[in-house]
Amino acid sequence: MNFYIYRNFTVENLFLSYEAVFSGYSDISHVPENAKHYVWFYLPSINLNGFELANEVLDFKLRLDYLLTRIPENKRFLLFTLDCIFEFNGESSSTMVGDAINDYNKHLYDLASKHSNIKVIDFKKFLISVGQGVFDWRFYYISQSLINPKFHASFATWFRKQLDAIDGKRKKCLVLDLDNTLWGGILGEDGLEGIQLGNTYPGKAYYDFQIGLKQAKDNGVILALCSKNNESDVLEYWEKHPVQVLKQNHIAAYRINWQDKATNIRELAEEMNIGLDSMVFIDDNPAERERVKQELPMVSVPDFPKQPYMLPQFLKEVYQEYFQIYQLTAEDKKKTEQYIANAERRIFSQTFKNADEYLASLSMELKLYSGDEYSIPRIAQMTQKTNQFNLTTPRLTEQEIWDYVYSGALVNCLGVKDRFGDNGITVASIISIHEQAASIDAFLLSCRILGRDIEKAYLFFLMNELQERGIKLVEASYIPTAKNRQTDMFYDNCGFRFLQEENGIKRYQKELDFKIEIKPYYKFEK
Amino acid sequence: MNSEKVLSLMAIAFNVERALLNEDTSQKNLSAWDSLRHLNLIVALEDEFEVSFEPEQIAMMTSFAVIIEELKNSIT
Repeated sequence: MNFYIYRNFTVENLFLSYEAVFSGYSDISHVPENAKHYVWFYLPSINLNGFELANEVLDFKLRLDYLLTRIPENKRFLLFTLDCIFEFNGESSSTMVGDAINDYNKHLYDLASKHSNIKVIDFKKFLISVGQGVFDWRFYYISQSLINPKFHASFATWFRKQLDAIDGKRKKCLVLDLDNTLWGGILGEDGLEGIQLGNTYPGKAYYDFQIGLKQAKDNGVILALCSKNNESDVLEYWEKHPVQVLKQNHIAAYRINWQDKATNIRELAEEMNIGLDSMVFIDDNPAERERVKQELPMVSVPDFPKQPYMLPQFLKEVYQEYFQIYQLTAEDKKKTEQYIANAERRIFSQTFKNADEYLASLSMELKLYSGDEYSIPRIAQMTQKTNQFNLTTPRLTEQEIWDYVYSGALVNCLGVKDRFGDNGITVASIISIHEQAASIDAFLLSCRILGRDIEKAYLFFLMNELQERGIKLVEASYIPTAKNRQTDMFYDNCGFRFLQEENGIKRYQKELDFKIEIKPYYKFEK
Repeated sequence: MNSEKVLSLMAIAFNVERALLNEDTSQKNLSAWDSLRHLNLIVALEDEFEVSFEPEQIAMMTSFAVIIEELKNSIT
């Protein structure tokens, strides 16, 4: 059973596509052990007595608090916020029900901040998104259903998105066109003064759109440009145009030329070292969108609104569809800066005689973290997003990582800093321990920090740690995917003994007889 | 009245093969036709034929024959 749902009204139809089992109405007596996730989904009943309604909400809170003491801390527990479906106030000034609901919702968020297994799902957002008609008296009286069955399918989709957001599944990069997308008009024809961007419509709509994009960037979305224009015109725009919302340093990479956009996007993906399937392409020109859809089906290409006044709404929908996340980690916010710093690092490395000299000059600081409340959300996020340097590609939720921790496994991640900037936590590993042997179940690295052999140094560091603990033998494997080709020789290159290959899966072993020497410029700090 | 359309909506709402349904189908002889899926069917019919049923009608419309009859009543 995937979900066990505590509820006080008919919700079965909402979860048809989920493997869900339901409690009796308002029943909190049972906590089935085999549920992967628990869900708390209560809504106020239809009650025209406001005093009773407020008391009911208070009672939900008491029930939830009691149930909470019995839900295992290592299982995810999803709490739905409350909203009043129907309220009748004899005293029009009474805020009794509203106060009780606000108090209840605040309580949910407090719980989530104290227990890492608790996540809040803001059900109000769903109600607002479907708008009028979500409640239908007929269905309520026939079946106790508070949600019009018409919206069951959209609920199922919405709920899936919330789960993805909690698990950290999102796209990474917005690739933007310029003319008639970031401003009205065509820069090359209308000139700097002629393009529409500013205080009056339609320029104001583009202005607002850019503010939203900047916001998305601050929330960890990487922005790239792909435009058919003269690069010099665009550079002049950045230099001279009085209205500057999205500035040049907000853009991680760009292709401003006359080459076809599919080729440009492919190049952008390569330059930023991200997968095409993590890109979303925004362009006002349907022909360009069609060509990219045809040639790069893994890139997401939403339709662009015909009227500029729809741009803010459009951006909101794109963001919710592709980039929503549950909790912003500090890592996301820094991402663009890191991609930019990476480019500088590449230029810098060309002036050294050998790799050692270059690596030593970086002043790397590698900070080791064990799996805990702070690091596990980031480790889970990495397992979801990392494709290229990932030996076994396990997609793990926070819960599953906690399970490793409880089983005694070595769960670690690494914060990587150098003179160019702080890359944050960009390496993660999980090693199960069985008496004197160990097996590397997960080993992955964000591609932002590739090219410095940190992966090798870190693997050796872990081997030395294991050796100190008296482990004699470590096992490892490489599981091929469409994207992790570059790691297929990793263990061979690190001195592991190749045992066998079956269905492409390569198995390795290494005896831990002595300490492996690690270059001194890899400064590990525990 | 478009019987075929109704039958195909029923197949979707009950999540069964269209071939399992015919003009004699009713809640009595089709176990997949439970009370929750019944509501799905009602919503689908309302959308398709742009009608709105009263709770009393919804309670009665538990066979293909009655559905066709109530649709005729509602559409006129």
